[in-house]
Amino acid sequence: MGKLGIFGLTFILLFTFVGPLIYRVSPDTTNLLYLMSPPTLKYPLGTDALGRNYLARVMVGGQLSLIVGFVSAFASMVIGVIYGLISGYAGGYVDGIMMRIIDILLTIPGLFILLLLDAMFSPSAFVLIFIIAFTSWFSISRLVRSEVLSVKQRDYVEAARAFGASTWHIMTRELLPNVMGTVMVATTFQVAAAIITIATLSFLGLGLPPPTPNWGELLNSSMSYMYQDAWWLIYPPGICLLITMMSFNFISEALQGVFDSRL
Amino acid sequence: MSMASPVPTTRPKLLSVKNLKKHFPITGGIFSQVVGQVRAVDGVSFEVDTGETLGLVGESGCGKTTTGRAVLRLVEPTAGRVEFEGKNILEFSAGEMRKVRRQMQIIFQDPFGSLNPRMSVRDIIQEPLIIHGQGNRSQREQRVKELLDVVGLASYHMQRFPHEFSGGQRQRIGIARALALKPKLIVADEPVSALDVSIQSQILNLLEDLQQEFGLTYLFIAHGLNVIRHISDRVAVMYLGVMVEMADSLEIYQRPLHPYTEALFSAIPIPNPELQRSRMVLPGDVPSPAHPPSGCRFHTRCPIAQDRCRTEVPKWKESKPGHFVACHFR
Repeated sequence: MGKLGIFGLTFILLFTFVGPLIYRVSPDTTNLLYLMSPPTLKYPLGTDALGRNYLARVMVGGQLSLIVGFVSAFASMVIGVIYGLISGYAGGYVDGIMMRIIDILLTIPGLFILLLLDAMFSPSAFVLIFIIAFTSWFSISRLVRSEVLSVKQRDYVEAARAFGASTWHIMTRELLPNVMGTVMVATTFQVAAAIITIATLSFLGLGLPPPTPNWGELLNSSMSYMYQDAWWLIYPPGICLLITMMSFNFISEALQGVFDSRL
Repeated sequence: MSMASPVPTTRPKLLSVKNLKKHFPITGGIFSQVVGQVRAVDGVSFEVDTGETLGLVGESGCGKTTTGRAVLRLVEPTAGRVEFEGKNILEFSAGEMRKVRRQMQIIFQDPFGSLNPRMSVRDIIQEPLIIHGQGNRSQREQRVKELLDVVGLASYHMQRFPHEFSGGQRQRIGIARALALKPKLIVADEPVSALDVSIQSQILNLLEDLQQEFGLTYLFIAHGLNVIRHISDRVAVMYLGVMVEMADSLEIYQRPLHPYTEALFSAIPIPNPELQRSRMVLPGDVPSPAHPPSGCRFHTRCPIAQDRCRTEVPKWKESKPGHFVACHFR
């Protein structure tokens, strides 16, 4: 399954990042002679209501989704790892307070925070990364914390303490490398979740501002033409999202086996 | 039963433990209030001379491991004194503690849990050197080679990771790491009980050779007397957080005084099926250290217990020169 995931992800990455370099067509140029054209030789995926080349739009639309997905997942990993390491290693009251803070934040529905933050700050890719990272680090930090609770009991951590190792040394050299497996698995899932979040926000019309397309926004604007049987507007971005999601899920499942960690 | 009178020795004392206690709180209820105390170690006193091996024996849960860790301040003792070279390390600041940690090291029971699986053998062995800022890169590399050689491994093992080694080899790596800072005292916490019997004697011989070569002092913790006999100069027996008997190795094997020690000895298998002997089987289980029995803690399982044992705590007394016991009748 891991191979299938790698294959799918490679395909998507080539399609979105290398594709536009080969298929050099502007995603924004309109052609009023070909509005809502079904796939033809000239327009392999047809055109949208403004006569724009849909293949070019789907290719470019993936770029932003993937970049924002990766970067926000990475950011939430960094926050989650630091928070979880401190909470788990400190234990006691500190741990209790830090985990209760997460509990409180988790009681607020994620979509609500997203919509609120999205309304407060005008959406740009950077803001979107920040918003997604801010609403998605909880689960990673909980995972890290629970792993740390078990790893810090191991004899090799005790051995490091017996040498007089500093807290910093124990956290970075003993604990971190041994929780990274779980973190990698969780972060891979997180990338997929972030991409879905972007798509969801864009689908609700709250994502990234035009003209740069992204898959969620493409789905959103295609909705209106569903009843005109404009299937070529719905399936390509949907299938791209599907392949991306499944690839990430397959990869993280394979990683779970490699790192022998359970989520 | 806690105060020990000094052992007459010719060698200087390296470690002196006085009335050491470690109680773990039991929390319960919705506000996790303290509802009781597990008295893991409840007033233990002993001394270890320089270059000597003191064997610490007892069943699982008797507090011997906690004693070993409390001596190194890996768990913070509740009360008592731990004097290392005459200074009470329990009063040391973090900085002083860091310095003294070079002198005292630990070898763990589980050779699979004691090595960081994400570090190469080189990193594992040089870790204490890095922590104490000793040597530059090539000096450390040289030292790792020396240490591997000392414990009977080859220098090409350096690049490998712990999972590539057998239990015995891993234990050697753990020993090399413990030796890295040239310590004086090593607490060996059941260092062979997780190993195959055929490997056990190899490791024990290695530990003895290292003691000779580097003048090490061992606090050797074990749950069986057969291992201890091999290596110890003196043996101390613990039961339920207290010490019940301590004497020279030979003396305690030939003339055990405490009924618990006798029972432990009779559990050692004799490699002779012809030989008949009376095996002393203790009734019942070890009582909970959260609610230790009144009086003598051993009275619930003792074959010679009398009424007195239920109420009166036996004194820790020197029954013969150098032979200490805590029993009303011996």
